[in-house]
Amino acid sequence: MKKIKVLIVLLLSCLFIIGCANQRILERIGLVTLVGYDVAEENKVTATSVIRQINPELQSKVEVQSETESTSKGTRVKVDMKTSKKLAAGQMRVLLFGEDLAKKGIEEAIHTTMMNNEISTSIYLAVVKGSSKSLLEYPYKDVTDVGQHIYNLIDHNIKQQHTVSSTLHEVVRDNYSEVRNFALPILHKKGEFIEIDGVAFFSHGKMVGSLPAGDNFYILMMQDNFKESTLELVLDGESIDASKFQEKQLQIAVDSVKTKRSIKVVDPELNEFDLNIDFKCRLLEINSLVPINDPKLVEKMEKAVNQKIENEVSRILEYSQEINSDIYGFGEQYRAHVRGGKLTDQKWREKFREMKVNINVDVEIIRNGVFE
Amino acid sequence: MFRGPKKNVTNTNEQQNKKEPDKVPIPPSQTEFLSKLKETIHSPADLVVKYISETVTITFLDFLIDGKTLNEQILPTLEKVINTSPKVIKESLLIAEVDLVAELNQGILEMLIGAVLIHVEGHSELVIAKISSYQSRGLSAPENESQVIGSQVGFNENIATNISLIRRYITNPNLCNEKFTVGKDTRTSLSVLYIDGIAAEEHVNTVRQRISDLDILDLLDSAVLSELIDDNSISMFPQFLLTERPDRFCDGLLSGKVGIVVNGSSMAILCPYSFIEFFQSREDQNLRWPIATFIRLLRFSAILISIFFTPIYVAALTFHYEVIPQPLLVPLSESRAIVPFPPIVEALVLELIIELLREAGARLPTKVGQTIGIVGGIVLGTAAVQAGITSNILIIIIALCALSSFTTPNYLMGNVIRILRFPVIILAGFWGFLGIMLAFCFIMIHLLRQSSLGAPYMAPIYPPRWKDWSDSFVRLPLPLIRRQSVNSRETHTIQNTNDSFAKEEKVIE
Repeated sequence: MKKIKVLIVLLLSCLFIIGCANQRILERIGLVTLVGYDVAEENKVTATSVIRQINPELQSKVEVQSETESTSKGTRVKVDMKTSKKLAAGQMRVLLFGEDLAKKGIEEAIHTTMMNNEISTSIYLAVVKGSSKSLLEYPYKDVTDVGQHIYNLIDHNIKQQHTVSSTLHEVVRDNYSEVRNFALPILHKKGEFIEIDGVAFFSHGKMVGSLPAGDNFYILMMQDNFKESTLELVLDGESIDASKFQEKQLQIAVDSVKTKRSIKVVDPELNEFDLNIDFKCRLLEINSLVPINDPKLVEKMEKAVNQKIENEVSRILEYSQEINSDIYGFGEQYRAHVRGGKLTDQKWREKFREMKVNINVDVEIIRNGVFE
Repeated sequence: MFRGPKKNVTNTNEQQNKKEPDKVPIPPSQTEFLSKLKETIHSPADLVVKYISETVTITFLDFLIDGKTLNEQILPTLEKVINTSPKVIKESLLIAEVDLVAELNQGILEMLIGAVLIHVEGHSELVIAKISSYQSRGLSAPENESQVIGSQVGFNENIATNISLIRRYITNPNLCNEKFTVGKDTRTSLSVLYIDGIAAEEHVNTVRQRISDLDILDLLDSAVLSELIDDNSISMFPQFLLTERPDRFCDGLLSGKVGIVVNGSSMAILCPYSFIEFFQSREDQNLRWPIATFIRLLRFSAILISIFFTPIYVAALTFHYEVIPQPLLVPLSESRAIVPFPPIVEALVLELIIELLREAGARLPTKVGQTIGIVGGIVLGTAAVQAGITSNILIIIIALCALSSFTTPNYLMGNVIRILRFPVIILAGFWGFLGIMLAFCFIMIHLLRQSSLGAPYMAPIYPPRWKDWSDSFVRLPLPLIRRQSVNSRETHTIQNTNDSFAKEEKVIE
C-alpha cells in the first residue's frame, strides 16, 4: 500500500513538471538558417539573419532581417520585434563574418556561438569579402533560399576537399589551443553568384592575411591527408624534354590524388621540422604530343611535379610564417614530441616565425589515365 | 477484482469445501434411486430413464451419449441378461470403458460427462458405460496463425482431438499427460503435457502446483488460465504463449517446454516462454536460414519502429527542431503549417482512428471488415489531410507504425506492442526525447524483472546465454541450432552436431 502511495505521489509530481517543458513546435517558430555579423559604428555589431518562415497560405518564404546592437542577443531581440514568429537558432547552418569584423577579431563571436547549446557544433564559419549584409540582402535571380544556398556551397566544397574545413568544432578546437590557429574560407559575391574566393588566415582570433582560392590545394595538403582530389598543374616545358613537344609550358591534370602528410620534429634545439608529403596520383589530361608510354618520361614528369609542389608549399609556408598563423599544426607536433618544452602562446609565436622546415614531396604517378 | 485464489479462506468455507464430495450410497430400490437421482440433478428435461425389465433401469442424458452404441451394444446385451448382478452386466457389455460405482455423486458426474447409468434392483452398485459422444467442429486451418509453408491444421475445442493431434506429431512414450479438473462450477478438464527427460522437472512441478492451487469457480478458456497461472498477472506482457497450431505446440514440447491443453478452448498454452520467442514464427524453421534470419530481423526492427517512430516524430516537432535534417525541414513544416493542433494531439487522434478501425474490423464479419479498412484508410486518411486536421507526413508514419505492429506473429504480443505506443507518445509530447528515454527505460526495467515460470523473460539477452542466440534474433542453419534452450534440462545428448553439415555420399553398389 505504501509503495502505491509513493508511486501515486511520484506520478502526480511528474504531471506537474509537464508544464515546465518549453515547447518549440516546428511550424510556430521562425528558423534562422544563417547569420552574418558585420562591424557597425561605436563598437556595435550588425547581425543579418536569414529566416525561413513557414506560411500556411502562401509558399514558405525566406526573410532577411538586419539589426544593429552591441550584443548578438540584443540584435536577436530587435529582429524578434520584426518577425511574426519566435526566432530559434537551432537550425543555423552557417555563420558569416564581414571582412572588417574578422580583422577586428571574432574570438568573442565564436565563444558566444559555442556557448549557445541550441547551435550545433557542425555549423560552418566563413569570412565574407566586403560586408555580409550586402552579400545576404542582394536579390539573387536563381537563388530562392540564400541560407541554404551558401550552406550547400560550403558543404560540398569542404566535403570534396576544395577548401579548408571550418566547422565550429574545428575552429574552436584550434582557437582554444595555444599553439595553433585556424583558417576560414572566404566568400565573395561576383555578379549574380557567390563563390569561394580564397582562404583567410587567422592568428589569435584576428584575420591576418589571405591567399587566393588557387592555393587551397596546397594549404589543405599541408593540413591534412587527401583521399580523393584533382589538381591542375603548369609545368615547365623544358623540364620534360620530349622530342615532339616544343612548347614552353605543359599543362597537365592529375586526379585520384592521395596524399599523406606527416610533420616530424627533427631538432627542437635548432627549431627544425620535416614536412613529408607522399603524393600519389593518376595522370588524367596531358598534351597528346607527349609520349606518356615512355617510363623515363614519366619519371621526368614526376620530378617536375615534385619540384612544382615543393615550390608552392614553401611559398605558402613562408607566407604563413610571415603573418604568423600556424594553421598546419607544427606547434601541436612540437608540443607532443618535445618533452618539457613548456610551449606557451608567446614562445611558439617566436619559434614559428623562425622555424626551418625541410619539405620532402614524393610524387608518384601510378597510372597514366584510362585509355580504350 | 482477481479471480485468483483467495488468501483468507474462512473456516466455514473450508467446511463447505469438505462437505462437497459427500458420499451418498446408492439406494438398492429402483424408485428410491430414481427419485434421489432426479433430486440431485434437478430432473432436467434431457434426462432419459428407460426401464429395460422389472429390475434393470438405465438413465442417461440425451445428446451426450452415442446413440448408435446404446442401441447396438448396450440394449441388446441388457435384453439377454435379466435378473443378474451389476458385475455380470459389466462383464457382458462389449464396451471399452465400463465401471462399477458404489457412490451416487460419482455416478452422476460420470453421467454429466456422457455415461449411461445401469441400475439393478436390489444392488447398491451402478454400472457405468462411458459412451460419450462429443459434438465438435472439424479440424480447420488455424486462422490467427496462418502460414504459407507448413501444416495447415489447427486445434479445435475438443481436448481429445487436440491430444490425439499432438500424439500424432510426437510418437514417444516419454510424452506425459497429466489430467486436472479446474473450476467448481464448470469442472473443466485440462491436460498438462510435457516430454519426460526434455522438460525441466521444476517447470513441470511449478505448473502442477499452480494449477492444483487454483480455487476458481469457472474456467472457459485457456487464455484465462494462462493469465491466472502466469508469474505476473498485472503485467501487460503475456508470459505464456497461446497457440492454435499443433506443430508449434509440439515444437515447444520438444524444446523442453510444458504445454497445457484446456477442454473447450482451441488455444493451447506453452510455458515458459521468453520475450524473444514471441516474435518467432514456426515458419522460420521451414524457410531457408538467410531468409528466415532476414524476416526475423525485420520483425524485431518492426517492434522498434512501431513503438518509437510516432513518438520520435512528436518529440522532434514539439521540442527538438534542431535534429530535423535540412532537406526534411521545409516539407515537414509546410505539411504541418495548416494543422491547428500541437503534434501530440495530432498523433494521438490519428492513432486512435487506426485503433478504432482495427477494432471495428475485428468485430465485424470478415466481408464487411474489409470494407471498413478501405473506407477508413482512404476516406478518413485523405479527408483528414485535406481538412487540415493532420499532416500527410504523419499519416505515412502512423501507417508505417500500424503496419509494423501487425508483423508480430503472436496476437497477444501484437496487442501489447500496439497499445504500448500510446503512453510513449504522451511522454514524448510532454518531455520530448527525455520522455521517450524514460519510457524506454521503464519498459526495459519491467521486461528485465519479468519471469516466466521462474525462468528469465529476456532470456538469451539477459542473462546472456550465448548458445541460445543461434535461434533468437537470427536463425542459423539447422545443424548449428541447439534444440533445447538453456532453460530446460538436458539429458539428451545433442545429436545435431556440426558433422551433420556434411552429407555423406553413400555409394550403393
